[in-house]
Amino acid sequence: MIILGVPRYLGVKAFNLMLVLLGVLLLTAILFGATGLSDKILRAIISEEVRGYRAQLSQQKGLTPEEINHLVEEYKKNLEIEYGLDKPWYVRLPDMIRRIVILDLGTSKHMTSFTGSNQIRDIIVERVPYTVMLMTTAVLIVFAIGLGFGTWLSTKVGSLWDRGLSFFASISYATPTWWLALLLILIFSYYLDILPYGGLLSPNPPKEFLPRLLDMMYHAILPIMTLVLALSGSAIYIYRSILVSTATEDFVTVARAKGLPENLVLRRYIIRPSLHPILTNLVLGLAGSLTGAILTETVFNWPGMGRLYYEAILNIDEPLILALTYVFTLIYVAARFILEILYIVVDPRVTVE
Amino acid sequence: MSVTRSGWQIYISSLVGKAGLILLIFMVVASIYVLATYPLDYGIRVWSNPKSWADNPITVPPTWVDFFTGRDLVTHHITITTTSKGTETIAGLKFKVYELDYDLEEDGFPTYLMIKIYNVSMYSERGVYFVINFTRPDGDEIRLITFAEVPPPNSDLPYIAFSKNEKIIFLSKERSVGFSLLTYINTKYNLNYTIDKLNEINYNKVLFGVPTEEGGDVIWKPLKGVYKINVYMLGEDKDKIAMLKAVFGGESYGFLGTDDNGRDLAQGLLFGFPVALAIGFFTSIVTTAIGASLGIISGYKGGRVDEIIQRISDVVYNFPFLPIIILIVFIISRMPGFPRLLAIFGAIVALGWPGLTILIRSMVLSLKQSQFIEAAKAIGASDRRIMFKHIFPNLAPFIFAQMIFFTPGAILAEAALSFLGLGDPNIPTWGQIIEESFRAGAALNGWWWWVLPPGLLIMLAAITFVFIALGLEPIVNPKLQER
Repeated sequence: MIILGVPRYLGVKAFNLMLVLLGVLLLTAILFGATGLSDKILRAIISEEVRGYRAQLSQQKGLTPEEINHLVEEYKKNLEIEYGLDKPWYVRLPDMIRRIVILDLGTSKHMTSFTGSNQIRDIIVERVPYTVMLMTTAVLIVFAIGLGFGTWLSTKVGSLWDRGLSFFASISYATPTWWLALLLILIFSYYLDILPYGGLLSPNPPKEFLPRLLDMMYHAILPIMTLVLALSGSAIYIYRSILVSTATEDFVTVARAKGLPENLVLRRYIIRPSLHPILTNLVLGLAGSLTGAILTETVFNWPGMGRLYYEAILNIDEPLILALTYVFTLIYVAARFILEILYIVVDPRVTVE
Repeated sequence: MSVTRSGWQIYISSLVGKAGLILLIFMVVASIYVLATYPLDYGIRVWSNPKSWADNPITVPPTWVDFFTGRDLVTHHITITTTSKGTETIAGLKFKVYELDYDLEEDGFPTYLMIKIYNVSMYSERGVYFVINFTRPDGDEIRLITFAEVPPPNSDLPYIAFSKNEKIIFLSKERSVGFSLLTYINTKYNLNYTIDKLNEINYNKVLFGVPTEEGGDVIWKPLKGVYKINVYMLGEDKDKIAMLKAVFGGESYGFLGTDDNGRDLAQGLLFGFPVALAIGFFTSIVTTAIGASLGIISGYKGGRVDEIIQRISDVVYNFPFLPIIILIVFIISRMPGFPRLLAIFGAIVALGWPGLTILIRSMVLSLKQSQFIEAAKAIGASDRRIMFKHIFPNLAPFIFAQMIFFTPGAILAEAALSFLGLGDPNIPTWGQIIEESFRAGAALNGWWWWVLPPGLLIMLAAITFVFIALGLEPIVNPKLQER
């Protein structure tokens, strides 16, 4: 049996995740290069700089329009060489990847950040917290619900509740998250009129911190409820299956035979050894919550990156979509890595050297 | 020893298996019906063509909501006539008369009144003169509007007017109708309405109603009975109208209501059946074929081929699905003329195969050790023969079940991408219809008939294949049979 030390274990995992990130970067850079979109982005950046240069020149006195035109033309040519537009796209691939990594993708045509900047980087960075907030809250609630109900149902295998669950899980799997969101708006906002249609804050939000936070939480109820409803069905189902398969192990039978209290058996002999596969499923659930967050934000006009995706698609904003895909992958990879660290906590085999 | 049951018997004995099969048959029948009755270019020719929906009321619920509202909603009604009722002489002038009837049976107002005139042949350069009168159940006849139509100078006779575009008169909005109605109600009911006051209430209430006094206010109540629209035409004897159409706007429409373009949602949603089935089937067949072949090759060949395939599939398998697929579909659909649905299909396949490759590879690895493979090798069978004739048949049931299991994912992915605005606006898929409802703010306006049915259909399609997959599980995974 190969037992790895903690640094080695994390190193291997980090390497694999970096490969995923690199794969995404390579794929996006090739897609943008081969379709000529990377040229388009670079030209947009250059024309932005050229405009700035021209404005700067026209303020200087003693230059004729011809001289300005000549200088601008020269400047533009230099920039094109500097940015590598004279070379084919596959030669520029490393440079394109570098640009994506540091989000140096120029400006957005139609969208600005909340502070008014139209730099792609500014627009995205300020939206990250809202998406992370929505996702982590939903993932944690789903985890709690999944483990709670999963444990409860694992003691009732074959009961009516148990059979009802597998039906609920199929339905929940087949329900489009975004449609569920519309359904909840229809019920809670239109008919019952007790929750807001969407957005982050009320039209005239309170200024003080605490009321403002409460207002935000009030607006987050429906988006989070959507995500939880969409994801918990399969979570309960999977956690229950994992716990049931552990419960049939011989060491559980032995523990019961020893006359240990059922509570202790459940906690120490069933849940504890099941944590490892449960974490694995949390990793898989993460991908689901990412997808769910993009769609849910879109429906509820939640100002995170998911909603930004929708707006970028509507406005045909190529650099913004490229940047969003990268940042989403980054968040996904980072979350995966955090879960790998959690593995070490629950799985003692990793720490033994 | 128990009697060995065939796979079919096991499948059909399970409840989910039966349910899945029934749902699938239903979907297939609906698709065949659509393929047999709809034109192939339905999306462009009918669905996205505003002309095909011009007569319909916009964003009205289905007719059967009467059942819940407690009041019969006014149903949509169209009256058409192609023949003249006869002639009538008024003030020494001979008019041709066309009559359009309408029976208001429900306790409500038609939402609008529109008249359309098609192909008027004129045999004289003086043209024709129209008078449109409106007769109510209480016997009152109101002159709504008059107008003349003259052939352009030096045109060949007979001249056909309104041939390219029919003449549309929105009687319930037309300003001159307002003035006629104003005179009528002020003299008949002793009201002193101004034109502004009349414009505040809709003309349709005045056309199809009577005023009642309630607490000092004037309330318009609908007047049931038979209404007649008489179109009088003055011209040569041979002059005639080819077709006349009166549209009485309904408060409800059809089996599933209409959207904000007046499109019949039932029609569009029905068209979604073959589209959803085709997307589900084709993506899952192609994805499974690629995934399974790579898995078999990877597992059987081993060595460097295995290494490369495993590396790539591992990386692709760990991609965040939606962000990557949005990017791919977005870029492909930027190419002009590239069919959007094909782009979605390609992207789902491109990201969908690795899961199966990883699974199949591990199964092939253990299968490779079995004696029958070694025996085949010993007698000199080629690699290809072993993979096709010996390994594949052993895995075929599992691969088939995986294919079914992948189908709902493909259907849901297509719907999600269409919802995000990456679909083809000319093809009414269910996701596309919800996307349009979302952009029109259907949920915020309570237009549930535009939101619920398409989503339920997506669920139905997905659940069909989930059920079939669950029914297949005991056959593919014999361990489960013991229970």
